[in-house]
Amino acid sequence: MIALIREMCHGEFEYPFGLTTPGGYALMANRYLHETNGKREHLHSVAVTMREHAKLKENAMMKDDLTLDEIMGTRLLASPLTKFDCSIVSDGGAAFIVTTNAKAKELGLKRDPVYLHGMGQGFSHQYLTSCENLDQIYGAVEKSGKKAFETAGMTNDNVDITFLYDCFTITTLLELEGLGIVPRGQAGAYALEGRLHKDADTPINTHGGLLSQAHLGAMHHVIEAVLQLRGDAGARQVKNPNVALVHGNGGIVSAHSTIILGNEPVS
Amino acid sequence: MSEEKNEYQKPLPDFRPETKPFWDGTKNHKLLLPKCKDTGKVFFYPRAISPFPGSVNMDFDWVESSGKGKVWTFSVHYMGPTRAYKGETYVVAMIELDDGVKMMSNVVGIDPEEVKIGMEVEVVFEDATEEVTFAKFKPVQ
Repeated sequence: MIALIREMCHGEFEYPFGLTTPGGYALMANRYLHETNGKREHLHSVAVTMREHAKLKENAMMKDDLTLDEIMGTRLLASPLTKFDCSIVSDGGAAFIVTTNAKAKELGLKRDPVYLHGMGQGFSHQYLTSCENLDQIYGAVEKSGKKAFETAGMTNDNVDITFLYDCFTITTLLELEGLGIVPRGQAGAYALEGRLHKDADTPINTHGGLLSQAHLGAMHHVIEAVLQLRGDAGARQVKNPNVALVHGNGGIVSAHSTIILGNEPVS
Repeated sequence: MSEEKNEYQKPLPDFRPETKPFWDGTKNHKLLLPKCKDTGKVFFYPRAISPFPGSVNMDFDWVESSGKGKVWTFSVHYMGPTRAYKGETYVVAMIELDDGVKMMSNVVGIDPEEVKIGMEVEVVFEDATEEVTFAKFKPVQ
């Protein structure tokens, strides 16, 4: 994670100032807390919920108890982020097969497939220095979600379960708001109130996400979405989901993509 | 007894040819910003081609900034990207210059825990090596 910053930031106008990978996200996190009148707990509580989910996921890497108090008492890496606000480093593999409806029928699959209803992308900046403000990031997230909803012929109201790219706690909050899942400025409060938990009104990342399950990009997000839509998520199952949204992000909250999956075929 | 040369151990800029006027500026303790001749707007970071839409020009003016601005965001770093930062606590910030551009830098001359978003700052030049001077920022008194 330390070496990663060399790829993600400007080697001439950013790296020499000692920016680290968590530092880049921390810059955005502090601005977000400033604009939303928020506090550190709003960020950390995302990690708490992710750990609660990971405990129920058989292959999750992090299953130890994790409380908000513990995170508040942990040393900061780059204010306001602790190690618990950062995704874990993993080596592993994950796979899913993508094919046409016709081919799936021809192959005579044992399990029902899940259907890709919509997809979209949105981009903000290459380097943080060219990110004018948080609205620019929200705009990229919104554009990604909008296109996904348009191509799916759906809206936020259709979505039963959400998978967000939680490489850092801050990205989760920005995505929740940018996608219109929660009102602007309120994602932190949702997280603190436990509303992102699988049993609450805005369940996300029932597998524990990049923060507690593993970091293999959004691969496990797609897999968990499929499991949920099939009713195969066991102890993590939310009630009868028909539509799942999966969102990916790269760069320092700059490159966004969204897909919408459903257990009904595309009409 | 040999004199210990204090060699700068932290990362130096990965120089691109088009940014030379900027670094010549900082070496002379001036903060110069590139200005697109076509649109008349300043921009940062310096690039080979104007970043403004509709303007494909590679010919810029370099104007001197007042060096004044505000802390737009910051993060107190308790851990650095290389060994040279071991044991240090320092502030990385995005400074919003009065000129209307943002630049990343360090906020120096103040206890890191005292830095706040919105704080007024002004440029201060840090000679890292004989060749390289960085534009950093300190609180306006």
